[in-house]
Amino acid sequence: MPLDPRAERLIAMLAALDGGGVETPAARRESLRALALMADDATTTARTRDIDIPGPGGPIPLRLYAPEDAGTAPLPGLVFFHGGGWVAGDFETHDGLCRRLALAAGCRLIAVGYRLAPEHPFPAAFEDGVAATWWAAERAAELGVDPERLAVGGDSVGAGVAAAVARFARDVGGPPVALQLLICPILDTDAASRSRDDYGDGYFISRAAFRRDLADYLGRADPSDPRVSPLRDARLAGLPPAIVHTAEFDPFRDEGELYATRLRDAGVPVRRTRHAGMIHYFYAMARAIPYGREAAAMIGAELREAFEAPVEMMLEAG
Amino acid sequence: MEMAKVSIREQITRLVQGALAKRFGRVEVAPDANLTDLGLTSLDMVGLMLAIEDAFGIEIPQRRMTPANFRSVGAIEQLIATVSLAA
Repeated sequence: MPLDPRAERLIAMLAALDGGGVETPAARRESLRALALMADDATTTARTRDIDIPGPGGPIPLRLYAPEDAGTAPLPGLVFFHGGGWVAGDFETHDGLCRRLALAAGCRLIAVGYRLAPEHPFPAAFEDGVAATWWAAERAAELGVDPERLAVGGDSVGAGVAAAVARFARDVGGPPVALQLLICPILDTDAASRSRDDYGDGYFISRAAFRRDLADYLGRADPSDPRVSPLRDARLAGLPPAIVHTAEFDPFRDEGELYATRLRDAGVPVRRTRHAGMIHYFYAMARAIPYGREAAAMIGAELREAFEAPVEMMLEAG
Repeated sequence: MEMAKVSIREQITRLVQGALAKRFGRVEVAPDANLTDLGLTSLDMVGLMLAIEDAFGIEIPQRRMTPANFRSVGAIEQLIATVSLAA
């Protein structure tokens, strides 16, 4: 399928000033916020509450989302990690997506304001992810979350954090993670793939921008460390069932799909979807790319189904 | 009482100032000032284009999304005039 015309317009807009501006971390954060403000809308209503929890490097802010009519009955929970290249991204940039997911999935969504690079390099994001997930599992009753149905998820590098947290929980006998939701995940920082070659420039995230983000987060750490590159883990058996969404024109498409394949080969139930004509981050820019709204609702609906019967649903998907 | 009429140039200037405000505080934006030099990034620029389309009810054709057309407030003003005329 060709590139979606709205995605194409967005890319043309980006290209109009490519290479301009001095992109300091502060500028990158502000730009992503400005983009979210203009490109997304949060028309979907959900209840939110902001809290801080203790973390390894100081308090971790959380934003708790619940469907308007949630009441106090236990619901499934999703601990959610936003994208933004480890350097940018926050509650504001992903507010629309979080609302849509919580509503469509009928779950309580726990958005994690993990520490950002370069102020907080690797493994800060991962460690905060672990702390937040463990906390959510411990306080499930208080949060109104069914501890048997607690998932982790995220988009872009946030999906990488989620996958790394799921893996760590398996390895150390941490809290049971019911599912992992990976939206356009970045799972192998050093990957060589067809999609990275084909869409590395001119498709929303340039090779140079990704390199810069990665350098800010990783510093001199090993890029193949599975805490940042979970695809490098040789053993994927025993990981939670996975819902994997990729975009056709996304440099990170192939690593997401390879992870799905390898999980399935390791006996992990997987449902995977490739969004034709779409680019990285399409799901968080619903006003600029209207299909993003539809896709987020669909991902949420899938999550709802998976919370009911993960294995059955994914086996059915084949 | 007559409402103050906000010119197109002023509306554009405010949108640009809005994009810069969080990082730099209030910035004076001369009509011919280079927006990149003022510190607008490419993501800011996308936000700005979407905001302009929204504010003026236009759709900027792809072939007009060039660095030259978004170089300054004055250039954007001219672009809006051209696009509105063509519509």
